[in-house]
Amino acid sequence: MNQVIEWQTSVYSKPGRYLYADVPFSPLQKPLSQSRLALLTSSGHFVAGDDPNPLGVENMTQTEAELRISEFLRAVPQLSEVPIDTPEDSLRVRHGGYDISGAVKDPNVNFPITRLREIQSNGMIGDLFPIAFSFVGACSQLQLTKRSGPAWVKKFKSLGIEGMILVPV
Amino acid sequence: MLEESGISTVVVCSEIFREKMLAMNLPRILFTHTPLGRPLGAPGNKATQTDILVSALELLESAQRGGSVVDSLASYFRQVD
Repeated sequence: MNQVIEWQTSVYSKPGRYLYADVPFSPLQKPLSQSRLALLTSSGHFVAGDDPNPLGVENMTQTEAELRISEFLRAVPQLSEVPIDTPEDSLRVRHGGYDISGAVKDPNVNFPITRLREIQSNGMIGDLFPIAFSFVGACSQLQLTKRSGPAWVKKFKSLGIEGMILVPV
Repeated sequence: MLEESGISTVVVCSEIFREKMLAMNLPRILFTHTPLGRPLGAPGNKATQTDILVSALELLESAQRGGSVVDSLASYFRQVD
């Protein structure tokens, strides 16, 4: 596994094309045990029966998502809402940009709603927001940063979310 | 965007993306020794998944300034007793 990780690191360490400004820092205002926290991932999870139907396609397979990755990269990202108590066998995942076999076997590898529920039940988190959020990270980055992202942030703020665990994939 | 709006964030990310993530000047990052697509650990490895999440939550709560980076020591594979 170390060799796999080393090889993947070499692939993803090529210089990027983007420049980033300094990002603001907001300290958590209350202890975790009193804070409302939510999960957001770019893993491509959704609830069975609530398929976002990307690119206007119903019931798109993983294989098709992989073949059409270039179209996904130009598409507007779609945010799926997953109740935090969704049974694992009711979760679905589809993302043309990574090997989803681990996530199919165990969603907690990158969409850890079960683990977060357990952590909350032990008292570490005060208020785990009842919805987890996920989208396919292989999307138009321009749309994400200029339109969808700001709209999502407004939504999260309106829901009283104070902290977020972000899992990019 | 999230941090600017007042929502505190912590990123849990495989270390294969270290260079790119560090260049983004993010507030808090927990890097994990994991392959692509499995930043919380191997399927079925509940202990590692939990350890990673707890470390991320602790970083969310304790970080004093932007650019706080922690490397998780959790093992990708299940520990065999």
